[in-house]
Amino acid sequence: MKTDGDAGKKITQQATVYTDDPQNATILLSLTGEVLAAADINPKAARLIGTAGSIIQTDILITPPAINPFDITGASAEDGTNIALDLKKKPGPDTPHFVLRVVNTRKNPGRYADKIILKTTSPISPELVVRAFGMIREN
Amino acid sequence: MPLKAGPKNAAAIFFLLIMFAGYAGATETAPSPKATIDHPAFAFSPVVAGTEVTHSFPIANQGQVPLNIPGVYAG
Repeated sequence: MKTDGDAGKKITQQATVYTDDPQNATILLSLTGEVLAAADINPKAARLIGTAGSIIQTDILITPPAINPFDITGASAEDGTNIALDLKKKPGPDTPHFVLRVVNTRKNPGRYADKIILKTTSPISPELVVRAFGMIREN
Repeated sequence: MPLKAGPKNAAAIFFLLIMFAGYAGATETAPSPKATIDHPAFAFSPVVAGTEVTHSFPIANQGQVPLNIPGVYAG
């Protein structure tokens, strides 16, 4: 049973087995369980709102769950023309967590959107995606 | 009319007994497979999204003839 896209849900998958046993012509099987997110990402997206010329930045905290510990080996922006990234690994009580600083580099007013891709060492979640939105107003 | 003991009647009674025995045999249940499963439901421990969950459900046959499983349908 695949669990992509089911983070935060309790899922159930059923299957029916057909037999030639007249007393048990069908047997119903079921698999049930909880699906966790690959990482706790807080906030979920980077929102960079401010006036042109000012320092506009935000920090994203990324915490791997205990059942999916990983390192982040790289952070890059899909577009990258309006943001700069800085990733720092911090020790944690159980597993280390990561702080991704997203800095606006756009000088003139306007809006933009980008996608930040984090490469991880987890075989289950080799990539994490964080959306970035910018809204730069006139000074 | 009561039956009198004699070779003709004895033969008729024997024939009826044979017929009844054949009929009684025909109503016996034919051997069939008997599918059994101990745990048809399985609750798995929490997993991270993206994990593929697999589990085996052993189905045994306790009948006298082979069990056939012509199909399994998910959903």
